[in-house]
Amino acid sequence: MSGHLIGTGLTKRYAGLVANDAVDIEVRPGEIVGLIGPNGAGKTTCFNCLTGAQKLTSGSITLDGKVITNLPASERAGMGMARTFQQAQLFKHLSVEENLLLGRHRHYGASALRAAIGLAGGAERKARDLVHSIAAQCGLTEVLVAPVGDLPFGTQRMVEVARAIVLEPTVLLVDEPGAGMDSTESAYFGALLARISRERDMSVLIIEHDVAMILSICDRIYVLNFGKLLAQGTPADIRANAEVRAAYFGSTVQEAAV
Amino acid sequence: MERFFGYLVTGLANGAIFALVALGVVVIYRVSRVINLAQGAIGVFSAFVFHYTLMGDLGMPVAVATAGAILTGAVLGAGVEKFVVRPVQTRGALATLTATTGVLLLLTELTVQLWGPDNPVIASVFPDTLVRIGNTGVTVHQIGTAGIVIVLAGGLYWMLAKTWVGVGITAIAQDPGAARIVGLPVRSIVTLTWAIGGASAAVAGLMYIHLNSLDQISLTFVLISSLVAAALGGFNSLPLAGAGGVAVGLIFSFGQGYQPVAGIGQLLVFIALLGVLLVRSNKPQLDVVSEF
Amino acid sequence: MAPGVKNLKNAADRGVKLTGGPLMSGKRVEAGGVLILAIGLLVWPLVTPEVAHFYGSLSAIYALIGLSLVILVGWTGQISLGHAAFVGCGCYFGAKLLNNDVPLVLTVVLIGLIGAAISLILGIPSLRLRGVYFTIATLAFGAACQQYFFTRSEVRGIAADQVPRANLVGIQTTTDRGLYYAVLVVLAIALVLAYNTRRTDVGRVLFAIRDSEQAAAAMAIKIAPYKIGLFAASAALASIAGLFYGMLFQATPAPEQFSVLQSLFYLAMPVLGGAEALLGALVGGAFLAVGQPLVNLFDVRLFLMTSIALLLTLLSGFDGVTGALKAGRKAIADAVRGEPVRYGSFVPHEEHDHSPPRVHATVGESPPPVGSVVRVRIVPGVRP
Ligand SMILES: Nc1ncnc2c1ncn2[C@@H]1O[C@H](COP(=O)(O)OP(=O)(O)O)[C@@H](O)[C@H]1O
Ligand SMILES: [Mg+2]
Repeated sequence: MSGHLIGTGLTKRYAGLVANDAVDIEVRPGEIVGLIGPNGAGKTTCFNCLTGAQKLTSGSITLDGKVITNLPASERAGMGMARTFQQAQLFKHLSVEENLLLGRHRHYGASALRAAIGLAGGAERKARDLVHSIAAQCGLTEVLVAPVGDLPFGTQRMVEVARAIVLEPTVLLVDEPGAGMDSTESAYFGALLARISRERDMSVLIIEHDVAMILSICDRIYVLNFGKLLAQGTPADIRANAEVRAAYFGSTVQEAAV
Repeated sequence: MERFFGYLVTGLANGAIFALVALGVVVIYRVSRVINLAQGAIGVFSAFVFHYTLMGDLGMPVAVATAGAILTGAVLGAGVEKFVVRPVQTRGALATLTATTGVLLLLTELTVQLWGPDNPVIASVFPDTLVRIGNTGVTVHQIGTAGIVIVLAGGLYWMLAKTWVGVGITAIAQDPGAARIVGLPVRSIVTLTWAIGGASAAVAGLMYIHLNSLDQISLTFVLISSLVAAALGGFNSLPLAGAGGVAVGLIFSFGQGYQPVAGIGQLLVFIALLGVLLVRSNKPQLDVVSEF
Repeated sequence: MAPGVKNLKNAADRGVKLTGGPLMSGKRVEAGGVLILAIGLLVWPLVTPEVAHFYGSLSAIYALIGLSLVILVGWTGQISLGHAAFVGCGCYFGAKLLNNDVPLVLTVVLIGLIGAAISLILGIPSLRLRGVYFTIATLAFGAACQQYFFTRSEVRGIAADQVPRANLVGIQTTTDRGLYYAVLVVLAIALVLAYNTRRTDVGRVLFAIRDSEQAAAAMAIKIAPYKIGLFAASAALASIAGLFYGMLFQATPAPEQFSVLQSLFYLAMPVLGGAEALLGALVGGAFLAVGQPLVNLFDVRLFLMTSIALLLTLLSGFDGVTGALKAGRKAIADAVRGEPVRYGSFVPHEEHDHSPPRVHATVGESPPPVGSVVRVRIVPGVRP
């Protein structure tokens, strides 16, 4: 099984600010791992470093045993690492279907030349079939032909996640998918993600502020605060950790526990 | 040696003009994220208004006509912003770049349509008296050009760093939405900046055409030289744009002087640009992430 | 009305689009239109006097240049201010090949390759950077070509070269009509290649890069090769157009014919015709070619009128003529059917009564500020 992502000593500095300070993080094959922490804790920065959108100041990253620290983002994606962005980055000139089809880029299987002379019919059909089945799973069938910019914000987030899944990644990183969803939607989304992860043998690293959702779907959770790892462990450990409560949960957990 | 100093003087004088146009491009880019490709054309059009209309038809004295030409440049700059760039700005960078391209073509062609294809010799507020420095002669106009550019560049720098308008420009450059919310008159500041850009282009046009007869080829040449200079500083740095302008002027002058082949200047500037691109792409690419 | 309740007009003001579906199935109309257009393009020279054929050839050549710019501008969002230089390269190098008895088919291919190779000189350094560097590089390249390379006596110099009118496989090009058909064949091939490309992976990738390089990289897309490759294809098309340009005049034009201003003139094609539809290139090409005889009637300069048309088109907000047609078709369809209100492609409520609906409240939904969570609860219900 693959999808084993390990970051060791991840450090990222912006001028004076240390956004990530020697963070060790591991996502084992098939696991769903949560990354939580207050705003500005460095979660997105950690994602960007893992996926290659930003360069690390120091530290190293491996994916399935291969060192990927210095690979560009596109090559990491080519190795099976997919992600979504905190602010959905969809291709607004394209329809939902075309957005999803782009996830097939690395499996497309027809060269530019063949496609130009009209010989990519087979590849195109195969790509569309897969896209349609994933769209159905994510509840996007109805909107496939819609220009993506017309969609409500929550649906756009879903399109972004679906597009990442079309990539058939071995490890998926999602950044605050629940922002803008209400608690029912986000619970539904969490369950869907868990199911897809199981069905596709895909490990997941998820940043999310909806604590209830995170606690319910994750196998393990990392807590970041001011760029440093504050705690890690199973949802039960995290729930019990006094430091985490103080730094992050405040009174939420107590209320939830009542 | 004598030739060397001759080329040096010409290069510095022309380079100062390129620098001035480049500064205008940078200031405008800072506030509105638009590369004004019409910057050079505004300068030429203003200079032709100066020569044919203000001095020719209206018979104004040089000093008054010069002021009139600078005003023309300012009005043109503000007009381009208000009536061409702003209406298309919501459609993105492609639309604004195409728009300024259209203005470049419009002004260039309008110049020829109105005043014919001749390259006039235009007057200057400074006399052409030769001042001898060692073995080389420098005209008062050349000294004046350099002086004016230094004064204008210094003034621009001072305005940006020290005045209320400058703070406004910096604020708008960083976040137009936030600038509007805190109550800055964003539209007026943007238009004012374009007017300043237009006026500096007019000054450059007057100085340059007096030094070099001007046809469409040299117009594009001025434009390209100043854009290359502005590109050196990533369209963001005034000092680098200024230095780049002078450098391009020197490269051109020495290239043409020692290797007088047709088009050598254009070739050298193209090569210089490739160099600039190399420098910029070797800069550790800033993180491409826009979110945090 | 209670304070804070907005009416529909406000929704439209805020950029919510209200549009209707096409009158007929879009595919049918398009296919029919293209068929009629194709027949028209084939038949018209048979029923017109010879003078028209010159302008027909010129239109087709311009349309090739237009197509090269449509794919560049419309697909990548970049503009080139140096395309005339590629036209010039195609013209001068093409003349040399033809004068050395290289068959025209082979010349077309070779010129395409030469144009593409030359494009790499500026494409590789400038397209790896984002922003306007590419445009400036094309500008400087255009000026260097016109002023330096094209004035070398080995390239063109002061004296014109003869350009023979060779046959394109079976098509005689000695008459302007024959040349028109030859260019039309090349144009048709280019259009088909472009159409297929747009509909498959590469087309989508180019749009993806245009919209978000960061997200494109996350889709395992290597960005630079696509941008550089598309520019090379565009340069190849422009160079091939240049080859035919020389053949049309039967002599190599002076370097001034390939100036930077000429590049700006060419840029009017994707703007006037529309850069989103491939056919915009044909419309733009036809405009520029018949422009010259038209402006001669009024004693104004062609480039001046072109620049005015370009600016007016930009200000109109339509994507050229093809864009305006599309918008018109939609508007007619809406008016005929009395479409229910749509937000983009969504019909919020199927209305049986087509009087304007009353909107009781509109709730803005925009990306929340990063990191914060915006929760909006809507309690459904009707208040009479
Ligand atoms: N490009 C950047 N330049 C400078 N500082 C940044 C940049 N991106 C993020 N930061 C800072 O790094 C810190 C961590 O940010 P981020 O990773 O986005 O936090 P989170 O996703 O946990 O909310 C914040 O203080 C933020 O202001
Ligand atoms: Mg974040």
